[in-house]
Amino acid sequence: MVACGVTSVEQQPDQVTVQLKWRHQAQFAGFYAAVQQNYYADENIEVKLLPGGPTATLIDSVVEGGADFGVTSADDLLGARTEGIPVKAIATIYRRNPLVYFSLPDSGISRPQDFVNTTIRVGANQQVIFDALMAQVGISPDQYTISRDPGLDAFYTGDIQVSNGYLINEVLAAKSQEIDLNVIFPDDYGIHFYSDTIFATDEFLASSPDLTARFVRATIKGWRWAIENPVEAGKLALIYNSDLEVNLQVGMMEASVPLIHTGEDQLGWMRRDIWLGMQEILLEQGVLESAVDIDQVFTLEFLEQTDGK
Amino acid sequence: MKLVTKLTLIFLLLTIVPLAVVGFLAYDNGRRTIEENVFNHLSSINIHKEDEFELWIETNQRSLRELSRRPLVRDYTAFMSSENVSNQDEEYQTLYAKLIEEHFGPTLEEEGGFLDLSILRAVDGMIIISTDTALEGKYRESASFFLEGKQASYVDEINYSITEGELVLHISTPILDDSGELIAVLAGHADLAEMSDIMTKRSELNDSEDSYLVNKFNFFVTEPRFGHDFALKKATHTEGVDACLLGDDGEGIYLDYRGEVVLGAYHWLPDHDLCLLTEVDQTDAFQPIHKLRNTIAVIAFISGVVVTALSVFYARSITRPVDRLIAGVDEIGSGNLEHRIHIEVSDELGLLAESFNQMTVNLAESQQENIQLVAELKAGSVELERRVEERTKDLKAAQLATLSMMEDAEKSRQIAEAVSEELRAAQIATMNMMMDVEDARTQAELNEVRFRSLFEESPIALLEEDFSAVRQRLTDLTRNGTVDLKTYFAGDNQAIRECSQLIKVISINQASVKLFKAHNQKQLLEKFGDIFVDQSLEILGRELLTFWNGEMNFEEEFIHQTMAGEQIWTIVKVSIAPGYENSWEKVFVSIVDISEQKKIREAVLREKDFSDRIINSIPGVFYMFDDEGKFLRWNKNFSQVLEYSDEEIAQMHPIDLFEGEGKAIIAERIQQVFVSGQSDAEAEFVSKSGVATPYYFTGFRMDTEEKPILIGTGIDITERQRWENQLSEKADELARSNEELERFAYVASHDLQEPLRMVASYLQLLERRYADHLDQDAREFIAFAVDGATRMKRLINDLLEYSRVGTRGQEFDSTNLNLVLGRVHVNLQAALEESGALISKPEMPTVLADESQLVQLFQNLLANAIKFSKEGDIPRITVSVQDLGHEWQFAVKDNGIGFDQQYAERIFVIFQRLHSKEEYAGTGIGLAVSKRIVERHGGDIWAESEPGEGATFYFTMPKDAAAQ
Repeated sequence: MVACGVTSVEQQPDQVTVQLKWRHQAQFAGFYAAVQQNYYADENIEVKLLPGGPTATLIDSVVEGGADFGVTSADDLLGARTEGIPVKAIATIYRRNPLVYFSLPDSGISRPQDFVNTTIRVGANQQVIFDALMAQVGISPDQYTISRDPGLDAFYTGDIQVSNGYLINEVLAAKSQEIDLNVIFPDDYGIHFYSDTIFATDEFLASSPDLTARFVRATIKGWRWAIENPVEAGKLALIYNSDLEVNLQVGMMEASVPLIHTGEDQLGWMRRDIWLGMQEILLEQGVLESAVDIDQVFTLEFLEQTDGK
Repeated sequence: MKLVTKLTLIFLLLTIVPLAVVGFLAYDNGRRTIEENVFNHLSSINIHKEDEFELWIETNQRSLRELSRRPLVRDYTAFMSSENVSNQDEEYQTLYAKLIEEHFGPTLEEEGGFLDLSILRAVDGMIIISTDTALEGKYRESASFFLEGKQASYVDEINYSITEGELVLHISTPILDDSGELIAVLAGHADLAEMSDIMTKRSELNDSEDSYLVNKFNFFVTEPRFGHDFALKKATHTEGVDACLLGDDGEGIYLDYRGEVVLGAYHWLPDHDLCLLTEVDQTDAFQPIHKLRNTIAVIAFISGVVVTALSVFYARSITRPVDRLIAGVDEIGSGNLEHRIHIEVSDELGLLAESFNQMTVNLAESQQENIQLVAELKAGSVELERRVEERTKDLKAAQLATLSMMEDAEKSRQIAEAVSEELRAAQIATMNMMMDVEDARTQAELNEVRFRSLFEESPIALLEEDFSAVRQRLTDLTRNGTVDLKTYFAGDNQAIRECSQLIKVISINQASVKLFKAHNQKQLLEKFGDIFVDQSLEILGRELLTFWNGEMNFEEEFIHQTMAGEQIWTIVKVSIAPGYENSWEKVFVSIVDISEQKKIREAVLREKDFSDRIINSIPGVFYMFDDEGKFLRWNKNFSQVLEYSDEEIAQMHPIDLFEGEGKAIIAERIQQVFVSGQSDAEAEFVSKSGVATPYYFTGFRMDTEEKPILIGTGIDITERQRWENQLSEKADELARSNEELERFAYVASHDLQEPLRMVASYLQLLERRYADHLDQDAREFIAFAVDGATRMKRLINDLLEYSRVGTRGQEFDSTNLNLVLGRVHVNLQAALEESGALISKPEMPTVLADESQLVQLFQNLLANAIKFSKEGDIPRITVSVQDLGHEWQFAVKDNGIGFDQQYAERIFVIFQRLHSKEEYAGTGIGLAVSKRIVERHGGDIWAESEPGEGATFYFTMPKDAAAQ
């Protein structure tokens, strides 16, 4: 009906670099799948995946041009935006945060209110979410003790009663030892933090909208493949790091499926309400000094150009 | 192939084919019927299951609604959800127990359908009461069933609850107080097992019947019959599911999630975004028809065996005599003509054998005849061979004779040729001899004639004159007191004329007659005085003075007049013959006509005068010097500017006229002129008094016969340099001010955004957190404020965008406009589809440009064309391009509302709009940005339109794209 269209021209593939949030593992299976299933190639993109790590500065890597896209947590992006760093979320992979609190099965601790008079192991980076959770249920800092114990030994001996950790790591590991931990989800208490979120700079999005749309489309397709084929997807991680333990990777991928796709909204989708809620918590916790326009922080423009699944 | 086999196959075919056709038709017909029946059955199962499913949902919704409307439930909830009540409160505990025991408990037990029931506080979504106490204290503030349930009864999507660790379906409904104010949401966690039961209940028709639900993301939501733990974990992409998710109902034969071929019916449940599928295995469904197929196969097999046996027997009875016939024929064929075939049967085969026997008899006879004939032929051929041999011999002899004759003829021809060659040489010698004789004779006569006419025919005019009378006159004059002849002649031409008339011409040659154009010598002698004109008289005067002063020879240019009255220039040489020095009686005069040379010389002089005037009228300096630097010519300006005299210049070298680095530049450029033909230079001329003046010089090499010379001019560029300096200062100033302006626009709009974002974000927070506490007016005011902030944000963004055209542009690169338009098309897809716009475009060229800006440019123009279309009309947009040689001209033409041509300039001004923003959205930035983009590419943009007649936007783009 319309006389003009895109002429198909053999073109050199666009080179795209993605800064991952952490070291190579099944956490990024969708990216691996998009590479292995040629979804990126079909969009004429050649993707290079940069592993993250304890020393990686994810946002800087993207802002300084080392990578075109990055994967980081949503609160990280909000913080950057407040500081005037022009980065924007374009899709969220882990829409349920895998960060949870857990206690031993017979401890009788099954809700945040039960944290009173206990010692809780909280990672330094996860303090914000913990504080928000405590504020939400009205427990003041003098009612509990915080531990920065690096390992879980003290937890299993009972010296520490509650620990935070990842559903797809610590909880999964316990389950494999047949220990059915009590799990307390911050999600149940109004603390919704998007975890792995794909972002790029405003400038990149403005100058390469077409490339971004293609990248998002292929990435979402890769994740779609990963959640439909979790076993195969989990194994893909070994291509990028052969030292990984295959069963753990498959388990991680299988446990991740409901965090990525719950039956609500399409893959990668973000809700404005959740973004506003995250900002509100970060403001209340004093992590953010000022509010930003939430529409500057994320855009659904590129997700809208996918097949909606 | 043997006849027996062939016949057997034919019989078999004749039996099996009709059987197969009939069998297939019967099978196919049966299969269709069964297929149809199965599909009907499957569809009816779907409809039935949908009804059951809807009924289940509805029943659950109804029981939930009924519960939420119980006055006691409302009262209890109102109390328990109020802020100033603690759950440790005694009354709270009582009411809590009553609510669970008297209301929720019985509902769960009697009505079924729900696993648990919860009440969520309206203010923050916290579960305050639940039959599953583990849920109490948890929040569901962002769950759809809470948000939607605040408004009305709601059925959520089936989803996986991570915190509950299972698949859930929530149904919710608001709880309102007596005044209709919302106090809480009542939510039921539906028992999905019941739903699964609905799906897995089977009609017993087929063993493989399988019904299940799939959500819009292709995931199973109930367990299919042949799967375990599939719900929300496995996705399926079968033909049936894919068709169904497009919102279609239908049926088909396809591979199911296991890869089995199934007959399936699919049904889309639009209210729940679910697809209901019922399938049976094809093998299962076609069981009855397979029996029929097997029966047909058995019948076909038995018929085949019987037919084969019968046909073999029958074929044998035919083939046996035939075999015998063949054996007989073979025997006869091998030469035994005595053989006879014996066949007892009397049918066609018997007759055939009989005919064969008769034929054998005839064959034997004709063979005998043949043998005779061959013998005769052999005898004839021997005779023929002999004759041929004889003939060949004769022929060879004749051939030899012919050959020797030919050799003789060749010899005679060679002899004849030699004789004729000798004859020809003798003839030439004779002729040369005769010519020599004749030549000698002619030469003698010629010498005599030439000698006689030599004098008369001299090519130079010669005269012999007698000046004695003139000398007498001069002597008289000096004697009469006129002492000074020079003064005397100078004052009076008449006196010279008189003298001239005293000259006597003695003889004249033919060349003289010709020179003076006389008819003959006589006429010239008679009118000799006429050859002198006034000017020649002066010269004659000088001639006479010369002789008077004792000189014997005089030579000078004369002007004479011919008999025909025309003036000629001559060189006259007059000599007094030796021995006549005192009488002047014999004077020889020779006259040579130099009129032509004279004319040329005059022309040359005029030319020099002309070029002198020209070079002197040149406003700058002019000069010529040779390859050694010696000045040959220069104009007055040259000497004036340099303050040197012409004599001094003649002694100077061009390098002497410069100082410092000027010397090196000029030396190098002079060298360049002599090598490559031309050059130019800027340097300071230094005058004699040391005044330095900036000059621009150009020089060309001119090759003369002797050596190459340099011709050059120079102009004073003092003024020009001053202007250039001023211009560059102004340009710098302008660039600086432009840059400052752009930076200002950027900074201003960027900094303005910050506080605006503040306003917008806190308004958003306000709206979110206090929405329930605000009245209608307050909400409206916030909406106005948000709207204003949003609009201002857009304006600022536009301003930023506008300022970025100049500051954030990319380098120009080769840009294929076909790809650019393709991209624009993708970007405008939504608008194009919504408006149904038709765009036509030709093959577009590749230009040197900033690709992303061109995308923006075309996008602005096309979006404008779509935006300003006539209501109800399909926008028709034509993009065209024209090659104007040095630039491309593009046009975007539409059939929209157009505008008055008087606004053609205004529309390109930033934030200028022709329509109110209520009529057409936008801030009026698009065309301003477009104009900046085109200008950045060194082109022009303009528009032509009439109201209601559509508009055409033109812009040009230079091919070299020099501007950036």
